Amino acid sequence: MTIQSEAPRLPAATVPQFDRNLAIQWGITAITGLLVLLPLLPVFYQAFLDRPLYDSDAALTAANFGRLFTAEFGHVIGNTVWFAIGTTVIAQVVGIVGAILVGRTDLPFRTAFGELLLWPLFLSHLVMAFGWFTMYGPSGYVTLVVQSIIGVTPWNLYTVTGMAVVGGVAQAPLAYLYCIASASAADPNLENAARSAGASPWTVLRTVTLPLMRPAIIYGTIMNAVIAIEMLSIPLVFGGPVQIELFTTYLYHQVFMSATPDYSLVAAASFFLLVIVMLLMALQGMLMRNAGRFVTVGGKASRPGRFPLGPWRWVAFGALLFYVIFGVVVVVGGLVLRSMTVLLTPLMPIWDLFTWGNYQMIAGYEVYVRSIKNTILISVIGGILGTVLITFIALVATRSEFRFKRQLEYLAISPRAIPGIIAGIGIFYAMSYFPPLGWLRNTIWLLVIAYIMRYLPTGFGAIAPALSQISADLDRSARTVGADWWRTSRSILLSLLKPAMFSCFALLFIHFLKEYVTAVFLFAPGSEVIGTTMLQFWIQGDNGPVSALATIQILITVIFVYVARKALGVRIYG
Amino acid sequence: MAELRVEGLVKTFGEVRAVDDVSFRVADGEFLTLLGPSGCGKSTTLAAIAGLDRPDQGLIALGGNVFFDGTKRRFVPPEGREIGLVFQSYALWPHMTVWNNLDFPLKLRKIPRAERAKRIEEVLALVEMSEYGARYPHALSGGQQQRVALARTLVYRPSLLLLDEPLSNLDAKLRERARTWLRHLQNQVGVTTVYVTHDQSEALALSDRVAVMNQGKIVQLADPHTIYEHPADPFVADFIGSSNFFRGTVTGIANGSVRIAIGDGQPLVAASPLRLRDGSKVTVSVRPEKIYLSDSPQANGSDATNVFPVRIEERTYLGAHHTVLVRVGNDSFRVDCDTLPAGETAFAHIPPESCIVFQAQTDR
Ligand SMILES: Nc1ncnc2c1ncn2[C@@H]1O[C@H](COP(=O)(O)OP(=O)(O)OP(=O)(O)O)[C@@H](O)[C@H]1O
Ligand SMILES: [Mg+2]
Repeated sequence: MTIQSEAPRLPAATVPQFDRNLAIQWGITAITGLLVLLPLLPVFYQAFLDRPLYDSDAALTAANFGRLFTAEFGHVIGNTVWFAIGTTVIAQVVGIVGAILVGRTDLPFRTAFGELLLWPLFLSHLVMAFGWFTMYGPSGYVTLVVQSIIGVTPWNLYTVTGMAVVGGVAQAPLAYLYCIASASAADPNLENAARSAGASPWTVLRTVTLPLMRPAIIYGTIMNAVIAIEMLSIPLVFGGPVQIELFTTYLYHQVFMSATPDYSLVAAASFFLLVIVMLLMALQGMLMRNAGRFVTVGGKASRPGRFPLGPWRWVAFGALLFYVIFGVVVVVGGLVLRSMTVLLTPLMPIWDLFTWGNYQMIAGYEVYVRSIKNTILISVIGGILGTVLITFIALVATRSEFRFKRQLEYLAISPRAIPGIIAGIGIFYAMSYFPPLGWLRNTIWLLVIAYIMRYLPTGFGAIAPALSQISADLDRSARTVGADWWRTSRSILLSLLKPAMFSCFALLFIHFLKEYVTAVFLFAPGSEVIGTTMLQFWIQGDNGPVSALATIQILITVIFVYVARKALGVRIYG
Repeated sequence: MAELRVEGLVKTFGEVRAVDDVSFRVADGEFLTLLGPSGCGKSTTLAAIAGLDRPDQGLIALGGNVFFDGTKRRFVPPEGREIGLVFQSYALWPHMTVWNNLDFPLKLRKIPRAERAKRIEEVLALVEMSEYGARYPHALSGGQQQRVALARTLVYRPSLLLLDEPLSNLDAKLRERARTWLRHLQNQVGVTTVYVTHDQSEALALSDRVAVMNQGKIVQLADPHTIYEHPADPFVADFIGSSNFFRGTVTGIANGSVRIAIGDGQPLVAASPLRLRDGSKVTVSVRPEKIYLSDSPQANGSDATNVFPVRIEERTYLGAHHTVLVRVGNDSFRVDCDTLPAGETAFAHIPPESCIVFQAQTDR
């Protein structure tokens, strides 16, 4: 047999001089490090400086924190805590109940409810806030209708509690998302076992079902608390008019409402917020480690058995229907109606108020058209670049011999603890400190960079699990047949990762489309996005164009999600 | 073609010494098997040779190429080693056809298209898979996937072939056929081969030499016959085939045979080359198929040494033969026999030359 004749070989048994794999791995680590540190370092630095960081006379000091912690700031913190608790509790209760009803019971129309409960996840808080304002605000449509029937205004959203209700409903989809996975994966045999042991359905729910969902509940609770703390839109829309300050609006007003923004004070406050969020994240990590024993190990694809609700079926159906109609349909529908009317009021028939004026107004001004174009461009370009970067981060962090791969992974998921508002402020400071970055100011690239940084963890969460599903033997075998790490990554892993990369892109696209907090401090003439333009209109009191822009944003999202799911088969949120 | 040298190889995972000072050589064209129970460090050794894991200490060299040298901190990455490794999972790339799976290593070597096609056809013919080039791996049976995996490593003509339990996913019948086929193929190709298995019959049937591993160490390295007939210690005697063990004390030594008091003090005579002293503690192993059962103490024309009256406790029918559990005093042991003794009692004959004597661990 002559199969072992001499043949062209790889240069045998060599330790490469220049290792392109190492170069690429270091390169990706450097990019990730720069992205994450770009906003953080300036905030850290500025927090301890007595003057703006670009001022060459600036000196180190700790006095900023002394100036920060005043009685007024104490009030801000009190409001924020109350808002965060209210939002989290409402979101979690709605999410958990929804997940149990849809995932574990014989609720009628549960598939449709599942979709409707999840859908607001695709919409930005700003849009939700405008929707609530339009329908339930002091002169909102529903408010006026109720007022005309019972004679008084039964609610006031311009309070911390009112904001918490709006926030809670806006965040309920996230709580639902975390819980539905564990609710529908739960092994019905565990529940059946408890029931056959004589436990009533209620006892089973309390002693078996809920404890099994505990990791999801803990995770979602802290996630929602963090999001509530860093939320800008709802406090701004409902607290702004009546001077109720929350943490984010405090920062916002410090920067935008004072003639000479106090850099040091804003940085100190940002630093404080950063520490709080990091502590919450650390708490989450600790709780999750202990929660591990409650995670159900996925049984064989058994169809989850469902609790028969009996006559309560229709009660639950009615309650959920009420929630979905008034929490989702009315809010979004009202916004769409408002965009097509001069004024939305129950006092006049709606067809008399119909107009395309709001849309014509948007189409008529270059700035408004540009903000739509920019938003789409950022979502597409940022989505693509972000997906590529995140994929390679995941490849280095989980599929290489790179010495600092663990650290790279931590770096990539650390932006979870960087609120968008801080990212915006930090990058804004970075630009004032490194003038060369200034040319980015009026382009969309600055936002692309900031957004990608913000959503590294989101994308990583889509790629890394998919990567761990690919057997390590597949790349190990490629290595032994002679492919180096880079070639293996390209020819073997990337091809197998394609579906996950589409999901990652879709997630980034949707997040970039609705993102505005990060942009609030960073946009400039030329780099407006839908969110920042909506805020500007709203401050001027132009609610018509705001609704039109919001409707356009919703429309883009709906079309994108529909096409991605149906035509391309991309998985977004399960 | 080249000789593989592994010297003083150590690999630890935290506290676990997965490979603990392993040394062996595989001659050019030789077929060596690493055999041992699950978790003894076979795969870790193989991964170190392939370069997939970085060992802590030791030396790995193929011919003149030093792949790893712990003292010089030299480490050649897997892609620089020209080694073929067949995985237990086969690890065929699911997004490529059989043909493209084979083409990939050749493309990496920048071989011209025509030559690549020729080689792929050649090696597909060799593994009898010529018709399957256009198929995707998921459309192949386990046995076919295993052949493609082998073809993928042979196609670039590696200097060393490593196989990690390549047959363990096949059913018993197919495994036996694949075994014969594999040995035949290795002969034909003549490539130096290291084979990993925990199946002793596979090891004995395939190998030129077998290295038996236990807890990260090689406990015996020899040809299959020696491993079976002259196991180096009780672990090997027990792991390869099966053995009955008797513990006892030496009571007398005479020209190449020893008298040992076992159990209740019954004398057992064993042939042994070991230098033993009176009073030495020993373990004697006897394979069940080397013991005879008969109804009289004088069967098979043997003399009266090592004949024990036994009580039959359990009979198991295994098709080809019976296995009987018998008791003498406090000791019980297994005997393989073609025909069952009639009564509840019988006589067991243990030929002294079938007894293998090991010094007890503490006595060394
Ligand atoms: N990545 C790892 N981390 C920690 N321990 C490991 C790792 N890989 C292997 N080990 C341990 O090293 C020891 C040897 O493992 P190895 O895979 O080499 O066993 P093996 O002989 O191939 O067993 P099997 O026949 O089951 O495949 C085992 O105790 C195993 O638990
Ligand atoms: Mg193994």
